[in-house]
Amino acid sequence: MPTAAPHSRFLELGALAALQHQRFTTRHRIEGAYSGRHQSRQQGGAGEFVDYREYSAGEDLRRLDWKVLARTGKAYVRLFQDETNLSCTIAIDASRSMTFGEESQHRDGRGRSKLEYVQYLATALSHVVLTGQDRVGLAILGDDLVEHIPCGGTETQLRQVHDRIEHLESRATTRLAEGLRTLFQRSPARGVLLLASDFLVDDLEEVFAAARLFRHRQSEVIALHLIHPGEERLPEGAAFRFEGLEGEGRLDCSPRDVRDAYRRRFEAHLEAVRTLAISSGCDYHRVSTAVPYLQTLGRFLVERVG
Amino acid sequence: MFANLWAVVLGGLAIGLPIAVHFLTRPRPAVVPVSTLRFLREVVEQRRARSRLRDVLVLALRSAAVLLLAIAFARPLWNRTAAADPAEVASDVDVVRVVIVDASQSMAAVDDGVQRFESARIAAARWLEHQQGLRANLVLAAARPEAVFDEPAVNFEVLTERLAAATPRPERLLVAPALESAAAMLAAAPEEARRELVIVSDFQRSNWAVANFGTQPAGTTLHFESVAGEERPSNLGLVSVGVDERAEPGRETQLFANVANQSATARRVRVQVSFEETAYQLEGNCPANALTTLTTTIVPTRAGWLSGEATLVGNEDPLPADDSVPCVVRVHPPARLVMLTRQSRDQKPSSSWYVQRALAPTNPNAERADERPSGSERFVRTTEEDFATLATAAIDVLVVDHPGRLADETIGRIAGLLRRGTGVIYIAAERVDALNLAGLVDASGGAIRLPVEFEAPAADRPREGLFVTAIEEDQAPFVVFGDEFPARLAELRFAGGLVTRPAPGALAEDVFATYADGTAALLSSGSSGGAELVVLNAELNESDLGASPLFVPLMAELTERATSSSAADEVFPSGEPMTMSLPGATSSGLRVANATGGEVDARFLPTESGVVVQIAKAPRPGLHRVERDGSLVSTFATSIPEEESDLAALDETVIRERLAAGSDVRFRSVDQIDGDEGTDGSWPWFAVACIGCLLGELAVLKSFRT
Repeated sequence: MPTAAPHSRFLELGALAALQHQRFTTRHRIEGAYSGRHQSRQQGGAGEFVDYREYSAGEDLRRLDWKVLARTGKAYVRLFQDETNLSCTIAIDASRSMTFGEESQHRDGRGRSKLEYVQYLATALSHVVLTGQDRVGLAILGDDLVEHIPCGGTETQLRQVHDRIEHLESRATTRLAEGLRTLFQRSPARGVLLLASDFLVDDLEEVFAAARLFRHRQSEVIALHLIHPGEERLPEGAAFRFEGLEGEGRLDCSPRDVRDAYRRRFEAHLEAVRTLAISSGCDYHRVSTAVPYLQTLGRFLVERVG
Repeated sequence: MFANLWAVVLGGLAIGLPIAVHFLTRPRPAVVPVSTLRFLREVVEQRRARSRLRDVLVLALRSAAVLLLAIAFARPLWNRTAAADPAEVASDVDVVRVVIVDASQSMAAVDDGVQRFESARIAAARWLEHQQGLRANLVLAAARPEAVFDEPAVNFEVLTERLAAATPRPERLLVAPALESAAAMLAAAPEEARRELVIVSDFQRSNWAVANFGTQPAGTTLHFESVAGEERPSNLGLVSVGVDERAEPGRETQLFANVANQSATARRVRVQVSFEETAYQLEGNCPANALTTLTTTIVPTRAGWLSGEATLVGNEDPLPADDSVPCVVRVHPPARLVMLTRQSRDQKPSSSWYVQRALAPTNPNAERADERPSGSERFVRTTEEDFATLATAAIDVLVVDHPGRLADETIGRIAGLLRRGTGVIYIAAERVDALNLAGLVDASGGAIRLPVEFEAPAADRPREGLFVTAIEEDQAPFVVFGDEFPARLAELRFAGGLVTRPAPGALAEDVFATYADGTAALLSSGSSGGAELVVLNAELNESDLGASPLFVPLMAELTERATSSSAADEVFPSGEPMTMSLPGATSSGLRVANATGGEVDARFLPTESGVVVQIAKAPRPGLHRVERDGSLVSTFATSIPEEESDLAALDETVIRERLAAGSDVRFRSVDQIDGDEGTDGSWPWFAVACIGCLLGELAVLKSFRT
């Protein structure tokens, strides 16, 4: 198992030990450059023996090399050429709205900004992906594709990804759809696109139109919808001056006059994102930053195994 | 216009207060970052239109509530046609203004704790304030108008001082002299000047009902400022006290007190009449809005003057000044009766014998032919020759019976007696009596007017078997006889006398009894001296009347009627010109002293029968004396005129549309003048509207679900 030196402050190996047996799987047939445990689109099983790989729980027992087991007492599977690995690109929305909640001091996942939460989550997920001998890439979305690390499966790759995640900065303006289109153009291979965003964009239709591009290429698109608990309802109080984080200006109002209407509006937005995501063929997961990121990740991985 | 203008100002400030409080106390908003304002903006925009409408409605309703409450406190006056405010006169226009202030007794009445004159003083003061181009004069009007200056002037300080020092006078208001005085002053004003007549009064109905504003110069603006309240105050007034008959010592006399009840309810009234030595109580019920006469019987003990005061006991009303009046009763010595006849005293029966028996049944002195009346004899019989030398001052009643043809001098003397106040009873029986009576009428110079003309009957048509068919039962001398008298009188037969026919323009009621043939049986005529000439048209010696039991009381009543004693002659209205006759007196050494002993300006005019006292302005209410060298000659009383007790005011409509029709009229009442919380009733509606606005605000908040 590859181990990464803890360069990134968002990588909590000790916490990730609980997920060491978890693998990032996909329910779709994918195409990867190397042997992996994901079922290939190609009809597999009779290809040329390539390598051994340590057995992981849940793998098909028919691939277990019983001789090696008898001889060494350790379980290994035989890798053939027809078994491929996945390329998972983690796309992170770096809009200013993702910084909502960063005032909080809690370090247990609750009260973190959405961006910080994603940084932890993406760091952990990339580690899991690489641990599963899959490939991971990174895309930072701002007013366009700000940064792109193509998928790779090496330690160096992982470190690079972690580094970029750690030094991620929010952008004043974001054009998520434009960034996705650019990413699509730069990612000719099929794979998994995991889009982590709060989807607080004006062009939501365009975003999922861009996501459908990936779907048309038979890639899997997973939408992680980040929600901070502070966004779901307005604070208690008589009068507030609300300042938009994306330079939208200010608005003075009394929350009690608009609390219910705002809640309904926000829920309508959540539902709209979910509806668009599902209708676009994407997997949709609503993630609250109030839930510890490891818990979120564990549940996510289990659901994917399905 | 508002009764409490300060409330409007306060309300205006109050409207701004909640706004100021809102801005000063609204919480400072806390700055909160949000991931996106998009949702908030959408929600706020969606609600803004609705909130804006709600906020506008709520603010409007709240402001209206505050404003309406302020107006309610300010008590707006809507229902009066406001007179022009003195201050509104343009300063570049010359104005000549005469302000008449009613200073009559009724202005001392108190309405709602405020004397009418005080309200008038406040109102008039506004019209006498200095103004550029204004010349003004003040006229204090009562029985006589008293102007401060001869013509409008600019000395406002003096006008104000005189107004401040003025008080109501115990007089009635004579409107015509005041209006004429003002008209003269305004007529003398320059043509280009604006003329204004301001009248501040309670506009008593009894005074102003006959006012004539047509005498004012054309173009004069009339400003009426009424200080009377809306409702007529109830008032009891003691009008007069006295006797209606000749009061003599030892003889029962009816003392009366006239009480005016100027209220809508009947009142139980008690009057105390106090003379120097005695006091009398008169009590009775006075119906509403009526003059009631209360009476009691008094028996004077000596001749002279009974003077004192009469007072309403236990009465409290707006005008206390009319609750008491001075009263004076002249107690005459027993009447001295003189019978002028040519019949012999020894002729019995005879007409003169019947008359003497009726008038002096127990006077032995009357049997003497050369008797001269003195202070002790009550009845004297005399001939024409002796009559010429009789002292007329000693005669109270002259009875003329069968005198024969009287000389012109005698007739003139008799006429003089009538003018002096001596009553005359003439028994018209002979043909010559027609000539005597015609001569008497001529000698009076028109002062005597008989209701009939006499003429001798035709020789071939003697007057006999006559009986009385019609009498004036409600008048003296018949009123005291009761219901049976007409029937008993009709049983009597009369003969003799003269034929009569109605005189042109005569009053039928001056004929008290009529025979069946239409001729007059008993008649009367007034005289300038107040005494009467009573004519009994019958030959008593040939009639049943002389021997009838009715004759004695009838002659007593005729004698009573023929005298001129009336207490009313001795009470005069204060402040007005008065004339009083002193029969038999001479003018030398006479003076009139008022109730406090001060001298009253009076003129003494000698006449045939005595002295006439003329006073240009009767003194203030009280008892006054006519003296000669300190000795009392006569006494009289002055009092507040009866009209001032009626506090009812003329309606504004009557003044505008009838009395002052055609003129530029402004009318204002006491509610608008002195700021009393008046009769305007609109303020509760403003308070109700305020509550309505507050309820409306709750409804708006409820409907917007706030």
